[in-house]
Amino acid sequence: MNHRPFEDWLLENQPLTPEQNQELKKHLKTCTTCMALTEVDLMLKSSRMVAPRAGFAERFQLQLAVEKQLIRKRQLWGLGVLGLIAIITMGFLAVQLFSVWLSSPAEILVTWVTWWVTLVTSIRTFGTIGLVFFKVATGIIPLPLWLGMAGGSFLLVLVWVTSLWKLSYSTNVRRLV
Amino acid sequence: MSDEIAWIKQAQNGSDEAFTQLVETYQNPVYNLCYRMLGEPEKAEDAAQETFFKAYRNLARYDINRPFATWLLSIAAHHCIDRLRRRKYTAFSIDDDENHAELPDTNAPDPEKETVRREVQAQMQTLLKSLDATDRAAVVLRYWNDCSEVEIAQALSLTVPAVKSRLHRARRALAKLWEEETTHSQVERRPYESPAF
Repeated sequence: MNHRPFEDWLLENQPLTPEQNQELKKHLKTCTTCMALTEVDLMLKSSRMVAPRAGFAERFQLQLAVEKQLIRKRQLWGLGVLGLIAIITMGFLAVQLFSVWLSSPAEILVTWVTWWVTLVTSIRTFGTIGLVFFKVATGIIPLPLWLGMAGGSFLLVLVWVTSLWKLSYSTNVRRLV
Repeated sequence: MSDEIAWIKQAQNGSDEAFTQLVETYQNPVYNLCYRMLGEPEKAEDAAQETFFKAYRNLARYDINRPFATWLLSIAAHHCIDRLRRRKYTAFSIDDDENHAELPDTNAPDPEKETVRREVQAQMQTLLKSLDATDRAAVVLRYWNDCSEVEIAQALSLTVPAVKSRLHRARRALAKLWEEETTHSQVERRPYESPAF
């Protein structure tokens, strides 16, 4: 009998018949690899657990108290910063509202009309630039390149969506653990 | 077991005392796993404490139908594997082995036997460091925590055949190293032997 079945017996830790046990004992006298496997297995099985220094739970409680205090402090700071932002925003809005109340109706109308005109003009300008660029580009860039670019963009979006899905999946798995 | 479930439920409802009971119950297996993984008492202490913090923070997500020990050991194993991968520990300080308490032997140990046992433990720790982080975790869970292959698979997010194959590979690697080490020590001993032999 060659070495392999004996190694399998040892690795699988399966119960052996008295005959198999005899064969294994005989094999162990000649095979250093199987002997080492047996010795390592015995060493691992006879290993005892290592305990932490005394007072582990107390140290955990202390650290937990410290961490809770830190969290409370952080929450207070967060609330403070949020409050400050809220006050600044409210103040800014109040000043705006106050200035609108103080100005005459003609001034408000002019401001609104100017704002809308600027917005519409900007949109039309950008539209014209885009149209000109598209007309020039269609003349310069050949159709296969357009198709290639479209295909490439599609692939990039696909990779992006897949990686997002994989990332959220692995996070969910970790959460389950 | 019913005590454990009661503590878990109380801890999930915000009782720190109940969680401390869980810490006291599981401090040894968690610390042992961390120590066998990281090889240094200080780092093992940090990792074990961090494991309990992670468990404390995520206790609301714990599924009560799953064994708590496996869940906790899974957190500890993942934490240690992450640390090993990030820092790439290169040296195990076996000298520190004397500085921490091992669980007392109830069979009144013979000092000579105890010395031999400690030597063997130190050798075992050296052998363990040669293993890949996940293989090491699988070996520790199997031999020190008596976890089944299914439990190891759950704890390490692996399949059962993968666990089996990792355990076989790890044991083969440990045996090979052990064989080399014993051969090497026999060769080293020879110069001190009497020329008459």
